[in-house]
Amino acid sequence: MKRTNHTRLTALLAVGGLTLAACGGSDGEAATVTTAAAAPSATEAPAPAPTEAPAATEAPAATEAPAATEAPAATEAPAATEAPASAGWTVDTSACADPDAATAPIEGEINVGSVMPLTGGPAAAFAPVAEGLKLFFDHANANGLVEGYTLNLTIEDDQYNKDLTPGAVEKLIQGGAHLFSGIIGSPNNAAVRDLHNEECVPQLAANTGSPLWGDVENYPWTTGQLVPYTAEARIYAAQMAKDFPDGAKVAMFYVNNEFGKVYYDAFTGVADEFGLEIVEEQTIEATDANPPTAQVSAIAAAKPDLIMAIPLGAGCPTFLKELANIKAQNAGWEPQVYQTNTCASQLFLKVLAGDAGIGTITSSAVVDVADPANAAVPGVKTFLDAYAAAGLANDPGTTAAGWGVGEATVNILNKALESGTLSRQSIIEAARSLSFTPSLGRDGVQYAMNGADDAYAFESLQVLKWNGTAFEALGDTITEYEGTTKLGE
Amino acid sequence: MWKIKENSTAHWVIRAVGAAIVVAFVLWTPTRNYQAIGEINDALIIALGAMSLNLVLGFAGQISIGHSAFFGIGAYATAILVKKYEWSPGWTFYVGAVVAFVVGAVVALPALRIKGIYLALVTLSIAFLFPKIVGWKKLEWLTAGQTGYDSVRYKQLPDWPIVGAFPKGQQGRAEFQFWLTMLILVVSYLVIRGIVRSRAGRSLIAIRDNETAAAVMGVNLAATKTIVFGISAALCALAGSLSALRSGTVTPESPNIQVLGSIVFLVAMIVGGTATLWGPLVGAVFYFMLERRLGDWSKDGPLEFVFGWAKTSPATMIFAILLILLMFVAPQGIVGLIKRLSRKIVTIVPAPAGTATAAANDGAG
Repeated sequence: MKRTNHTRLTALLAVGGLTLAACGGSDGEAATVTTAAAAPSATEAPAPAPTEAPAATEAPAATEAPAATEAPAATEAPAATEAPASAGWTVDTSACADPDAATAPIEGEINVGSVMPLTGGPAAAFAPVAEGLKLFFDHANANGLVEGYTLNLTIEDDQYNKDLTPGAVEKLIQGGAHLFSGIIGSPNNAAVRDLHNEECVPQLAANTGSPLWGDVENYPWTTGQLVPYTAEARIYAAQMAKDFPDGAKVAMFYVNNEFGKVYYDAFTGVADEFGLEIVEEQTIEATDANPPTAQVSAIAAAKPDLIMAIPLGAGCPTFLKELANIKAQNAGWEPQVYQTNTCASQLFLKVLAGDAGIGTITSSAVVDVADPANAAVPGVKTFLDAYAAAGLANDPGTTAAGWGVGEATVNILNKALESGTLSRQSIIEAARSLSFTPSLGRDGVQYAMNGADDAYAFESLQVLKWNGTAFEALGDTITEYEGTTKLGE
Repeated sequence: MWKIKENSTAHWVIRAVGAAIVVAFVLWTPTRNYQAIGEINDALIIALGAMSLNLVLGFAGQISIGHSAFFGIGAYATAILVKKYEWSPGWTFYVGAVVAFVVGAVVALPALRIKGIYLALVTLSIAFLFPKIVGWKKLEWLTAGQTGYDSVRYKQLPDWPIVGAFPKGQQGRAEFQFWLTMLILVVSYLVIRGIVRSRAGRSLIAIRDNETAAAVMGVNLAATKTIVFGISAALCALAGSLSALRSGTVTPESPNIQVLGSIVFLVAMIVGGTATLWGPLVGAVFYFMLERRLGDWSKDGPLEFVFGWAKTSPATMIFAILLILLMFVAPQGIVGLIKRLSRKIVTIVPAPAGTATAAANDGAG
């Protein structure tokens, strides 16, 4: 009895192993074929091989970054002469799973899909984005902003869980979605990037600032909405250099997750170039809600002139309050504090941080809709009217982010219509060759993309200082980095 | 109510009908669109995790809340080998399973001395530790730190015998992934069934029900616990590898490799039926489909009338209520409920004790 059972078990395992081996074997062949194909392609830079480049080589790229600023000018020189050609940037649909579907004209109704956290923990923070997106589409339909078409928006829930995003996107595509707009979250967008590009369904305005979305060669069907963190980090470094022309000591405080990591790499990559010396680095776990006493004390001990803080959500005010406490114990130490623009809301700086928030430097690409001084700005007025009419009250600032995604989408659709036919192909081509001025944007902020030459929509920011009642502009909007962000910086 | 003798013609007919339904479902699924296949895939991945947990918790009675870590080991093994070392994904399953087996066996060592809630705490710490380790700065060269990996996938789908070439694009990928998942699921099922229905399985159940008695009867506690923990971990790692290929992204922040994943496996297992072979499978599919559908139902479906007042989606709340109700109606899980109800219609009468077939049916069903 014993032996038969053992034999049976061994036999089963062996059979299982062999079956897996059989499939593994054929995979092996497939892989050698693709790697062989990938090797030459690296020189031409299409398809698979460079896909890995951004992720895998991020670290070395960061060390080379000082050189990177000069590099674009040099390497872009020949490209610049071709600029007129790339104004008519086109996408190759022959690699699509169904090329005909990608070029088929869309008539009557445009189905827009999106995936956002609607239930679960992070839903509370992100829900206003979904409301803002809906708000703009209702506004667009009511005012006929896309002539001759009705926009249908369907938002699926992924609970901010990237394992649920592919299922949600597949459901929407099967349900007839022509394009996607404003999917929230870096891992969530990354999880469906291959799917979108293989099926050739535009994945527009990815709602994250990761520099990943500017990969025109490998992921032409994916575009981002937010200012890439790399551009934002450079803008802060430039501002720091302006205030401290002789160089300065900087301490970094960042959240230990994907967002913090990308940001950290971006900032340390440009610090040298702007004469900034990083004297202290401290991290906090994303789930840690306690005041970062030990970290801030360590920063205080290094006595930096500047602090670059990259906290997350409620961590923004918590950090500022803890810093105020520690500053009280270190008389004479008055560092300038920079916080990422994910912290730039009145909720964090005014309501939660109180006096500790005063003097914080941050940035924004959009005007503060919560500031009464802006209520008369035409774009803000339209937004606030729609906001009030819909009975919303929670968080106009975050809602405006969704509104902005909707506006970008509608502008893309109109640009696509100019080309004569509205199809998935013309939509992504429009998205990558469009420029317009967003109604909530600050002076000089432009949505501008130009094929492979400019793969990021927004790269301009206004540096701001919170004075306790409003955001004060420091200088003009910094627009000089528009079109300069490069992948893998 | 009918009484049917075990292994009589009628019993075989029932078995054949059951098998035919399963086979028909398996053959029908890949003919559907990729959304439907993808949904089944997602559910089956959870099912595989729940099945592996069932082996160690349901049958052997060793509480583990650390299975999300084993899931993560599989996912990371696949991601690292595919992206960093350019392996073909098929081979990474073995590595993930072997690593998880070793880690699982090591984790089982405390289980030799501690029991119940204390063991749960040890495994819980593993679940908390794993995302921290893979996100650790010093391991960044290997795990890609907090950024993690993306685009973990077959660059080109292999051609398979029997199934044939796959269509282009997502449809082909979904079909391929389905067959891959089915293959691993069937192998895992057979492994678990083989263990449970063997002498080893009876040792497990003996350990679960009374450890001292089992030891007295000659069960080697140390070896049995360690090996079964290892096998369970290895199977869970296979689920993790599958999930890495499914979404292509592996990061320390992904919920299934955090402690939440363990809870999902646990819920799926209990909903389906603890210590039954089919329970975790049924439970995972039920759990997953329900969770996916509830959002829609509460938006504009039949539940809108009841929950329409809620500003945010009430799906989570409805789900919790349903789980509580289910535990009242079917404390043995869905499979337990089906067994109980079917007994009112058909009873299988076992062959008299002492014959060969009687012994084989101990334990699990």
